Amino acid sequence: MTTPPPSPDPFGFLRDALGQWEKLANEYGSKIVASPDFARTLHKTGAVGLQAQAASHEGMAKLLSLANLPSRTDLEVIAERLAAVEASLARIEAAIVPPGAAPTAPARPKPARTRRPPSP
Amino acid sequence: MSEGPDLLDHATREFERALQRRVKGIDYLASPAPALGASAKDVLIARGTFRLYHYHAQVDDVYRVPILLVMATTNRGYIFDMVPGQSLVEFLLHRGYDVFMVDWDAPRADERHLSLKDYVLDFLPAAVARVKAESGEDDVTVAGYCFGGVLAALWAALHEDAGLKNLVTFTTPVDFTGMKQFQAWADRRFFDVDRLVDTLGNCPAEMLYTAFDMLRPGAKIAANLRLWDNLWNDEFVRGYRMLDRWSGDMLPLPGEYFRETIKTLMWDNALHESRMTVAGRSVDLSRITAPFLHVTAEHDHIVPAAASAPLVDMVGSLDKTQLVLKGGHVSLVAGANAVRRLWPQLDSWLGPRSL
Repeated sequence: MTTPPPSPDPFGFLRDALGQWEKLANEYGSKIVASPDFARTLHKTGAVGLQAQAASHEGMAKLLSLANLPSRTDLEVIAERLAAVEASLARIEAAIVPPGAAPTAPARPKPARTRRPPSP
Repeated sequence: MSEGPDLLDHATREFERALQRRVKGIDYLASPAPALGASAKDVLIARGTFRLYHYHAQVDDVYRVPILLVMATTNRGYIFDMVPGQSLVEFLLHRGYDVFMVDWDAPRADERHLSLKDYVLDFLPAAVARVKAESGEDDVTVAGYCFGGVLAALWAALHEDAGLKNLVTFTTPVDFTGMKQFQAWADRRFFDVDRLVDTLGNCPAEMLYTAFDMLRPGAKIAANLRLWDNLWNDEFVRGYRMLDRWSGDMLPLPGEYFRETIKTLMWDNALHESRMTVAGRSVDLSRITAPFLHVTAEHDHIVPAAASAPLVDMVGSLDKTQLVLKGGHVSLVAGANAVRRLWPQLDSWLGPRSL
């Protein structure tokens, strides 16, 4: 007596089809993406965007200067100086507080360091 | 006639799933994303983009040698610490390791000047020094993921006496000509990296996300269809949400670092051709002599075998192992497959070398 073959699962078929589509889309899409034409177009578009952004920054900086307001560059300079102050504070803190005794790290019992791997 | 009951079973099952999809689909839209990276830890260093964490030990007796995980600079470190039961950090803590991690935050505008020199000669040495101070040990295992592995290898090659006990790299590229699609994207004839960095300062995360997304143009659509199909399956949805959130949570890169990476590694392939220098110091990977484990994924579309495999021969260690595991770039280290494949093998290799 032979077992009758299982009936086809139409939903499983659709899932397989999705897998096949994904594989084909990735293969075909990757070929397009890897072509010099695609890279040329992509970066040309990007370059136009960058040019527009640079022009907009420049224009905005002039407007802010006219309005006597700090520009993005001015704020970045301030941020850099703040970062330098933070770095100095960190260095001072590190010099006067020993590692592990910082107030942000409450003392916890340290584990022993004698562990060995389980025998095979 | 024998096909009748089977077809009826299929139809019944799909009907039930369709009902559950409707109910759980609403839950999916209404519920917050799972909390990731929640293992208890101390932040030992938080300096601009650079973070060093120390995870709280979960056992009373740990291996002598601490392990320092180094995350790739494009992504968040919580890929190593997803949710309980799917966290490499938690796994290592339970297996008795003292775990530290170098993670990254989005670089600030004023950090656009950071370059490879800062990562290799400042951040990593600072992290290793702090790990040694915290653990009281002179030896450290360093394990880098993707570009974190490149940074770890550069650091190791330039710091021979830094106490490197073991070096582990996951999906780490060394021959950048093997990354064919990234090469095409960064084609020097068309990609004006100087203009990008000079205009924007830091390289935006969206641009990096698009570059990664283009490697598999059909993947996003197929993933969304599969999510809809599996909305009834809580485990699938949980896994999808974790990985989807992580892969979309990319970080910008400091401008100079990005410029240097593109020119030195993508264009000149200097590391593979032994012409790499960091702040004028020549990088020779054969100077790495600590035990070395290099793990790659069979179906890695981001760092294919052609890009990662040569690293084993270039490293000078006598005790070196290459593991090629089933999976992709991300599923190698996180998710249900990693729990079964990578993690136990990592523990088996690392345990006897952490005494």
